[in-house]
Amino acid sequence: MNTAWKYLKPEDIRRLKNYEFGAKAMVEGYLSGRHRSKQRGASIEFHEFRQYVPGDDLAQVDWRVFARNDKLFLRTFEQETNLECHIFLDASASMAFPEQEQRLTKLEYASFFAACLSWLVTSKNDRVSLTLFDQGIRKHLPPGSTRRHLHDLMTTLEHTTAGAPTDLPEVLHRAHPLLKRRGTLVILSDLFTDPARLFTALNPYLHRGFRVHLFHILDPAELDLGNRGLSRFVDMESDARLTVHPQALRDAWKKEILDHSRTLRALAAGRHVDYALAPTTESYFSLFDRFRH
Amino acid sequence: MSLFLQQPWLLPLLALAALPLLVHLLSRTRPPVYRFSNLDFLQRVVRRTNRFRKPKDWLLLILRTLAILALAAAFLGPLLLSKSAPLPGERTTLVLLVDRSASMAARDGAATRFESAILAAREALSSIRPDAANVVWIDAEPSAVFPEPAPNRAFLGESLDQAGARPEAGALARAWELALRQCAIGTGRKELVVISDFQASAWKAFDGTVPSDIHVRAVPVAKGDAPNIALTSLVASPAEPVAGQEATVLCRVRNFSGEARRPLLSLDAGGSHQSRPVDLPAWGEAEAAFTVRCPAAGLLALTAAIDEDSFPGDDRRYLALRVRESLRLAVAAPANSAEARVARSLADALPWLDTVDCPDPANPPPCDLLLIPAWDGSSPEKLRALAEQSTTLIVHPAPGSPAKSLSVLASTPPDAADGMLTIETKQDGWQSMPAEGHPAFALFASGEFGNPLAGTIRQRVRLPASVTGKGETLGRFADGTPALVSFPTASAPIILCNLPLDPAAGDWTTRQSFLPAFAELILHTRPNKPGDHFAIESGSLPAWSPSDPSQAATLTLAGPDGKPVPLEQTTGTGGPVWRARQPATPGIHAWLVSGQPVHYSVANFPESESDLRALPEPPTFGPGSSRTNDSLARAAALDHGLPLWPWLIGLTLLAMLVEPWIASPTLRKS
Repeated sequence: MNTAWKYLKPEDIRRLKNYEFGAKAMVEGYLSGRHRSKQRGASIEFHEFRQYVPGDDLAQVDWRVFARNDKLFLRTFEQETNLECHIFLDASASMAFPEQEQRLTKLEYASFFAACLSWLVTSKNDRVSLTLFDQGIRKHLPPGSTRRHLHDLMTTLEHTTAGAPTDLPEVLHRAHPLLKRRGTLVILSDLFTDPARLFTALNPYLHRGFRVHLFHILDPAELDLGNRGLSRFVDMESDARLTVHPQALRDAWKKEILDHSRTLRALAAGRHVDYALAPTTESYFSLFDRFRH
Repeated sequence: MSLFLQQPWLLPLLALAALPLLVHLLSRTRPPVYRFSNLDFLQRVVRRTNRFRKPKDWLLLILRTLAILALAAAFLGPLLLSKSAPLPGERTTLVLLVDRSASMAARDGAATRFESAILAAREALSSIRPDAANVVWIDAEPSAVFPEPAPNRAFLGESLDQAGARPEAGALARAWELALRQCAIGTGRKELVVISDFQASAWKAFDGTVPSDIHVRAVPVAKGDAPNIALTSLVASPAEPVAGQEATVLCRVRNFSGEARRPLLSLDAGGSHQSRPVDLPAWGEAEAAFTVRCPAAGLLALTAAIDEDSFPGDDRRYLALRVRESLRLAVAAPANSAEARVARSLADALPWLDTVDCPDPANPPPCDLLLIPAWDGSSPEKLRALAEQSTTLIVHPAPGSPAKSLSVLASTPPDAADGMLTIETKQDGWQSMPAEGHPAFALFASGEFGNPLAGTIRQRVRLPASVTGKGETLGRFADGTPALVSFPTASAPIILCNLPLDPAAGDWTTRQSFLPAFAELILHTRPNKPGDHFAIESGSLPAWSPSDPSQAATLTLAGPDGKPVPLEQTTGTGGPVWRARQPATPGIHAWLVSGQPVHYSVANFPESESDLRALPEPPTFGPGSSRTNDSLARAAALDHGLPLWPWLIGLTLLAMLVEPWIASPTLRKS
């Protein structure tokens, strides 16, 4: 199997060994693992006492309690299970910005991070899924933890090109049935969408107990329009044109972007969603810190 | 204001103003293409900042267009000209009408109004730079420096420097006419610059109109209404007292300020000094009377003065009195008549009274009073004319004289009396008493000297009540019939006397009270001759014609300062007249013969010049006139054209400096 993947370099793998992927919330999974689960099962960590009902495993009956008060109580323990990480990667046309060979596009930056995250998750036998989207779901790789699955995931990333306009809320709405188990939801996008719609779409996930990480990936040129002269701006998604003087809009633009980011951050904080603004000039390894407890 | 272009052929340069617009449009048509991730956000930002961005672009366009336009316009050499500016190359005649009347000596701060006027006149000469100019003075005798406008501005400048305000009123109308004549002589564009304090009392009623080809500019130099106190009048009564008589000198002081004042008023009468304070209300006046004793006949000089203020010219006033040795009483009665004897005895008793015979009452010799003891009613018109020409008439009508003559003499309606006058006789006679209030008998008001009209009158004439009722009754009989009636005229009164001087008809003349009573009657009814025999206008030339030709040999004139004044002899209608060669200044000018004063010429400060209030706005003189409250030099510079190119270059530079500030938000923020 070819291991020379475009978005997962050996030096990154070496560096990733020092990182750990955890989940602040309890997760659901099939296999026993390092992560706590709401499902009661076999582990050494006590959960609660519960009255016996017919059909319960008699092995879990606490006989000491029965001997003391003649009642059957079950002693339940938390079940430790593996983690599922669902990566939603924005592959819309705007993610191809900037169109300069010497600089990473937002899609490439997000792909590097997705690849590293996938490796980090699967290296601990946790499961990772990948959903590529623009205005709809372009591709969905269900959760997996095998090397084969990692290979498929890397191959998918390498062959992904930016496509149609974005509609993240719609994508989240459609992807919800695809995620069978709750886990960690990692969204990598430039988030040029309405924050209210976005969080409305995230509500079902949050209700199910998903831990959501929103990574707002922006190029520095999007944070600051710069001092260029009068220019004709062409929309990478819709080919719409607009002739403006960026110098004149520079302050207003910066304020607009920061306001957008602040809105997202405020909504995220209210719903216990992790939000991070990730300029493409910043190392994507710093984003892994968001997963630490 | 009008605009004149020196380089009009460069007008097409203005088309360059379209350059920024073209650049603006072209730069907007081909901007570089920049693919961007999301335009929805950008459009939202554009919409939000649209109202700020668009004006800025327009501002830039306007700024650049303005810069180019100003630069192009600078090459055209524009000149800003006043509406009435001369055409380039046109000759200019300037006449400066400068006020140097007395009010111009008022001080507004550090400088007098006249000094300000001289500055303004020099400014006009140097800034207007006329081809020919002249200065016309507004004073008592308006004059011009040159006979006609001449190019010698330097001499005019020297004349202005040497001039000073004169203590005399300005003859505005004559000065105005002279200035217009000077303008009419001039050629080319004619400018008349009127420089004055525009004293309200002098200029308010002045109507100065000018021909349409003369441009008039009024330059006011008064900076405020200077407060002032002035001695405005000095009058003696009687105007010609006789030796030994007391004269009352009345001084009037006016306050031309908004504050009440209390100056000290003093009077010097031939070395005798009196003074007293005078209370003056704000903008009011007060009078003070001094009693001056005239011990001997001759000339008596009076000088009244108040405390000096900031405008001292009118703080002194002068008066000269001729104290007469005697009054002349002409008696129109036969020399051996009883009335003539009574008159002679009066003259013997009164040292200041001389009597002369008068054979024809209608043609009396020179006299002050004419006594007609038994007037037959002849020549009433002539007699009345005599009274109006300053001869007091004391008339006792004779019985049988026409009553109509009496009516003519008293100037009552001709049909007021008719018939002949008749006599009435009463053996025990009638007593008479003076009427109250008349100054002639004020001496007897206390009763100390008894009844001035005491005596028994046994014969009296029946005077028509229609005549006597029109006059002022000085005395009346016990039955109410008028005994002494005065009919005033313009100069001297006519006394109708029904008290006979003949002792046979009444014993009034034999009583002790007769002498003082008649003397008082004479003194108080003597002709009211004008007391201005010596008065001349300030600024006029003192002149005198000596009655004795032999006096001319040693005749000199001493000015108010005692220095001799040069004289010249001219010939008048009455013979040779000696005239001073320089205008009179306020004071007493003494005509001396062998070193002794024989006549005075008294000039006083003109009363009209004491009110220093100026017109709130300088007057306008027709459609071609303007008022110059600001610098005359600036107005004149505008007449010659104000070059605008430096301003346009400055505007260009300013626009270029501001342009980057507008264009760069970063620079603007910093």
